[in-house]
Amino acid sequence: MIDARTSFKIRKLANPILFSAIALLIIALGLSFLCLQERGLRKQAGMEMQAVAALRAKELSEWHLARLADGRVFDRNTDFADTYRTLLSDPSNAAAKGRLLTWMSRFHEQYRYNRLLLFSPDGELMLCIPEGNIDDPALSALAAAPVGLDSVRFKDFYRNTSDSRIYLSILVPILEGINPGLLAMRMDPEQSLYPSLTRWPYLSSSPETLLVRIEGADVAYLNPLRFDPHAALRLRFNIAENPRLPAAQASSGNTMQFSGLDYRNVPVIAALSPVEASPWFVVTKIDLAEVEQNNQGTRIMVLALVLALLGMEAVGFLMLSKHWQIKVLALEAEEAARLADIEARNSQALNDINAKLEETVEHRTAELKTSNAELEAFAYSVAHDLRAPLRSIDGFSSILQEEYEPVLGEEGKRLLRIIRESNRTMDELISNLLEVSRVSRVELKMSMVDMRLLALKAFKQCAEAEAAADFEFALGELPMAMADDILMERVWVNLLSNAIKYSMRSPVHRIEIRGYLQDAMTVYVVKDHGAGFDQRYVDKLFGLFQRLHHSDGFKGSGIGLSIIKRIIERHGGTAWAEGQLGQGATFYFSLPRRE
Amino acid sequence: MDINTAVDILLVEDNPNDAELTLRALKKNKLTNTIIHVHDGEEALDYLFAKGKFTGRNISASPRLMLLDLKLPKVDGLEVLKAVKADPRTAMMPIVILTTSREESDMMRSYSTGANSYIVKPVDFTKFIDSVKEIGFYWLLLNEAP
Repeated sequence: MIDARTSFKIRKLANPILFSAIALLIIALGLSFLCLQERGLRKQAGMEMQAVAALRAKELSEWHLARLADGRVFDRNTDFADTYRTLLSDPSNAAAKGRLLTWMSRFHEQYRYNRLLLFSPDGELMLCIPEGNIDDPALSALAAAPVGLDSVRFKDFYRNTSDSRIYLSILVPILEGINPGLLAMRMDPEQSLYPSLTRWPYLSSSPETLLVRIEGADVAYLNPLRFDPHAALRLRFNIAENPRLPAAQASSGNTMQFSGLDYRNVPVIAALSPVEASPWFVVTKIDLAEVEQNNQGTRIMVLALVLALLGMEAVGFLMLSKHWQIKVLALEAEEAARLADIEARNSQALNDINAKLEETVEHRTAELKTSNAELEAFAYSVAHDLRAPLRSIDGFSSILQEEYEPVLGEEGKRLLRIIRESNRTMDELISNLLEVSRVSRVELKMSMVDMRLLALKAFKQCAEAEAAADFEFALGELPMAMADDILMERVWVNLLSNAIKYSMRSPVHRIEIRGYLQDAMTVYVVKDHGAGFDQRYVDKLFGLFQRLHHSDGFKGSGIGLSIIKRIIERHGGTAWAEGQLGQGATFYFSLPRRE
Repeated sequence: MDINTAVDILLVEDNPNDAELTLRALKKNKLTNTIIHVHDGEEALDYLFAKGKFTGRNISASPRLMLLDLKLPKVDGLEVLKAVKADPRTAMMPIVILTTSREESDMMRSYSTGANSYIVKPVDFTKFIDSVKEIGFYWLLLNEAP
């Protein structure tokens, strides 16, 4: 029983810890799920970027090759070269001029070249399609000094100083030799390249494609950017100083996807791909924020799930806790019931005992009442019924004595006297018996009693009755007593009359009275110098009708001490005596001290 | 004796010996003019209220003194005392309780019920004669009836 309760208490104690642990586990699981999810998303975004970059690079590469192929149409083209040569020798040859323009216009139509420009070997613009006044100093310079221009090649993105526009051109040497002459097929990237670069396969807010090239220690941006429309050929970063810049990775040849900070210093996921047979690198990138924004739903879902799980856990624990609580309560209730049962049984037993006790007390009280009533009835009966015949005996003896005196003679009168004397004794015995009975039955009326005053009063009463005025009465200080004064007076009267009676024939007529305190009792002492008694028979002294002296020696029924003993005992005290034959007697009685 | 003869003393006593001794004591004191002796409480009440064998007696002619024992057969002394003191026709009659009981309770009850005197019959006949003498003189000769 106790073990089970303890274990439940331990479990109860362990609840919060277990609850927290599980809650933490749920949160950790949620977070790690989100982490994995986001890592996956980032990876996926990276792969997307990589795919787009690769695709763009391939497109650009093909576009690049296609443009070179366009150029090669004029390279080693004997017809075009011959016609060019003819025109060089005769600038007014309209036929030659017309033939060259036909070639050039065909290509202009075929592909959206900005312009096709034909320069003379000394760098002078000969023909231009579409026709117009055109100034491109960079191309002119190249035509004048065509260093290494032995085959068709690209003039990469450059800004034309005369119109501040960005162009790129395919340079085609026309003739053999050191000054071959130049056909420049100029393209405006705004028309031919940039639109395809800004295209994105799906609707999205942040992803873009960058075209960059390495220029010494820098990386240069070649196209206008989504967030910086004037970046082309203007924006550049030092590679060494910007290791986290995706475009800067171009120099390392790293083609993997990666995350970093773009030109705006915004975290991005990016991929890099070199464009084959060109100095370009394609960088595709998307803002990390956008990737993560795509995850917002998942995040909310995971958060909701975590909260739901926590809620469920809380509910579960609450239920479990309640369950345990109920179990503990049940156990406690069981225990309480067991204790209550024991208590009930105990109290039942106690009640039984009490009831029995009460019953016994009641029974005894009833018995006592009955016996008291019986005693009273007995005493009454004694008083009336025993006395009546005595009265008759005495009355009729008296009448006999008086009215038949002459017949009786002296002896007859003596016998009648004996009858009447015995009758009187009998009456006295009955009186004493009744007195003993009354002393035992009467209700005590307690009050503070001046024992000295009482003793003095009793002595005067006795002295007068016994005609013993010549007695010396040595009355010392006596403590007050809480007692019934009528009964106490009887005690003193009985003791003093005894003392006087037994001192009458002694030479010393002296009665000493004193009192003292002993523990919780007050002891009163009456000492005389009379006949005394044999200490051996002291036990008989206080017995009913016991007399140590013969009746012819001293008058009395011997009932006095018996009455004293009863009165003192009813007050909760004791009475005793010391004596020596012929040396007087000392009587003691004690009473409980009460304040 | 005619029931309407005016009596001086009504003695209520069941014990014939006690009754004889009381009568002798009264006689000894020359108080025996007219005495009627009944043997129990019922008979006493019959006499006083003219019932039973005393029907027709003049109730207003009450005895001058009643000597009443307490312990009586049928109706006891205290009840007789009560009935007599409760009736205005008899209430003024002096009643002396003459008993053997020294019980204080008996005495107190008697006086509180209206007894005029309470005498304990002594065993000693000489003393008894003296007591009766005192009663007779006081209640019959000295005490003026209202």
